[in-house]
Amino acid sequence: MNSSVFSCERAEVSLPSATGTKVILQGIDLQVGRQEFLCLVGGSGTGKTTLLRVLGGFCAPTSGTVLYEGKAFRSPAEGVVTVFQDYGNALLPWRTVRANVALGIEKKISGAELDRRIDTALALVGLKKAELEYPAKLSGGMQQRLQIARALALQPKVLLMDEPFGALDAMTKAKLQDELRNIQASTGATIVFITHDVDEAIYLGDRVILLAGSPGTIASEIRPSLPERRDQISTKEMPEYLHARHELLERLHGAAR
Amino acid sequence: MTSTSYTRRGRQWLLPVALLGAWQLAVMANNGLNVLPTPMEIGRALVESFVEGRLLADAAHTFAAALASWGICLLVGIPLGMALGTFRTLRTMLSLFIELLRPLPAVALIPLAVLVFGFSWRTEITVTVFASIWPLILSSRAGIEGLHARIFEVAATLHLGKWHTLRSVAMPAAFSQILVGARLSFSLCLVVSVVAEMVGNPAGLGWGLVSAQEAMRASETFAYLFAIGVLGVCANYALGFVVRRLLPGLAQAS
Repeated sequence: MNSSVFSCERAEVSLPSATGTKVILQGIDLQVGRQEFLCLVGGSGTGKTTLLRVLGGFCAPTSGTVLYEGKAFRSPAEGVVTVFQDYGNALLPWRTVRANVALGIEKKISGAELDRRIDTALALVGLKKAELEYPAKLSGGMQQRLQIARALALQPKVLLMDEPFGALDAMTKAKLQDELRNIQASTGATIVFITHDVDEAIYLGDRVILLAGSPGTIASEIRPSLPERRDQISTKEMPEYLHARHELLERLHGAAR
Repeated sequence: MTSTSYTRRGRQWLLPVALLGAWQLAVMANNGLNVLPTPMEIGRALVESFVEGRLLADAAHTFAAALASWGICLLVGIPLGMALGTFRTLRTMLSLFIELLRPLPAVALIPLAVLVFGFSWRTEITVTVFASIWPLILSSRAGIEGLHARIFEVAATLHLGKWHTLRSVAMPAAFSQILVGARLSFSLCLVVSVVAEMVGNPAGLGWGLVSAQEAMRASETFAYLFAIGVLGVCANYALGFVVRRLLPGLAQAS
């Protein structure tokens, strides 16, 4: 087995639209490495979400191959969990925080083991204190933490995140970015993360993929050479950070033209 | 409970109490017209029929008939509505039929029910169910149709099985909508039971009301009217209480 978790070769995705079949993604060659933090950026309509949905098993490639651990899949693969941007629709409002986290594992384990798994997931996102609240009582940031905890409870090998912090304010966003890097460090999960925020992509990603055009293709790739431990203030002042940011912005604007 | 909420509750009673007082004074001042009883006389009639046990027995009958009808509505209406929301074929097959039946006034059905079942509880239940099931069918259907596609993706990505998804995600998600229909249906059950008792089944509060009127006992007629109102308020309150206890998350979310 090679070191790629996902491998896409000449993957193409077409979806039905009002004017017939529309090609959304074309010629996607992509390897997602084990324990990699991969960010996907690109303008709207470049197929970021579609690519993530393909990896998440919600949509199959029209041609080409997409493999997870060397195997093709038609529905969400075991060990791959998607976290959605709209936490409001993704959480179950009639369940407490604890019961929401239990959703994915309550049929597989029970009793003390279930409790322990929930506690661990809640501790990872710092929601232990709110465990008996209902989602409606939580702030947006807390609700997104809850969705992440629910995914983590499954002990996934891969987290797919579609603009998870897109609806949050800047302070909360920064906090969650740091938490997410820490979670990845402690769980060893592979993360594929969509964002349209260039700063977020550079700060979080080990590698940043730029999607462009319609149909969307992989236009370029950047590997910011930043230290493992990142810091919202000092990392963002590093020349390497600024260089990567500059590079990405230039390519992003070049791609848009 | 805070003292402000006590004051607020007190204020709610201000208008009814003032109206009752005005009513009492108005009837006492106008001795000639004896059709309208005073609130005092109505109160006395209320106590009398209560002590005799008639009122409670009648209320129990009406409540039981409404509850039984509601039970049938729930058992038939929710699964039917959810099936309609899920299966397009069923929807095409049944929607015209439903749209033809739904506008029929329930009262118009009473003569037919009497022909078939006689003046009996069967008539009462049949008419009540017919009148009260529609909101449940429609809201259950809308509850399923209105589910956000996202929750099924959540279920898929968390690897929930089909049954687990239906039981733990789809049904509870549609539940708040179904509940709206269930409450509407319940109020209808009470109303229509009383109507059916007045013309189709000589029993319960509805029949008590008609008998009092036929015997020209105005204060007793009012007493029964009052009892019907109280039963409605109590029943709705009890239903709200049960819902809040059983589904605390729902109350928090709404």
